[in-house]
Amino acid sequence: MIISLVLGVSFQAVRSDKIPWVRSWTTLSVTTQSLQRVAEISLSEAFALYRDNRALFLDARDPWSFEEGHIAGAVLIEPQTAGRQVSEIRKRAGGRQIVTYCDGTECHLGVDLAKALEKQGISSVKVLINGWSRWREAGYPIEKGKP
Amino acid sequence: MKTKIMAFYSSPVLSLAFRVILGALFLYAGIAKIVDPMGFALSIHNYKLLPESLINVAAILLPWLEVVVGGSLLLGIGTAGGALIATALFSIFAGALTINLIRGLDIACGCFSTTASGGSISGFYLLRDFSLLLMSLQILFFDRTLFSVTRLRKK
Repeated sequence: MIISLVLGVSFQAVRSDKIPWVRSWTTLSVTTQSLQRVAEISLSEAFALYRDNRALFLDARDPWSFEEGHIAGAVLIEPQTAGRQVSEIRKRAGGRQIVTYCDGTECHLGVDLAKALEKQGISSVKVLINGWSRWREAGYPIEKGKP
Repeated sequence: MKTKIMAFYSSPVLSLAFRVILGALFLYAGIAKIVDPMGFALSIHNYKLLPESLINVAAILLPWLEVVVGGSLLLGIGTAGGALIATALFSIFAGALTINLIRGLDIACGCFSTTASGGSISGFYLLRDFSLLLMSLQILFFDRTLFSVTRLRKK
């Protein structure tokens, strides 16, 4: 126990990408923390890309939520299966911007999916935080149906 | 039959095998979390069990405890202590998993990786945790320090 305490404290003192010992974990800070390595896209920018067909939207929620409604043209990709669908995603994106989203400010799935894709070497990924609710409330195109 | 099972479970060779398995697992899990403290802190936060002030402290220190336990079991240094801490850790993890399975939270396990690619918690993770707990208990009670640094130093 003491050895691990000493190692932990020492490594924390010298590492460059350290996290603070204590921080406030509000909903906002959770989103900000998880976003530190993933780019966010604004709703207006996402819609501009959508309108010009310059983005592929990936829905990171569960299949049932997707079936009830999703951004028109979006593809359902769950973060845990993203690694196995990389070639399909690349093919569908065809060089376009990839935008991931889920629903709610506390939802990490969009960020998780973006991170999973970046890990597989796909760099053009941005996250639309609370994407489904904001997109629907803005009156942008949506559709229902199975994946 | 019962005696045979007990004789097998208390075998020193089995202890050695469990030490290697658990040692490697702890080392792997600890290093994966040390590399990504922020991701691990998020995993702990998602469990909604620790007070805010302790989340990052746990995310910084727990991985090192896992590495030290892993090293202890693999090398056979202070094996009883290592096995005792491993047993305590698996019990805590089992408790955390059970509470959140009852709550119905759809969260990543954060057990051996800090990303969601490990999959959401489920009964399988709980079963796996109990299997590992049985291994650590076996080491705690029946290890005879085969192929260990402790035994080498005694010679």
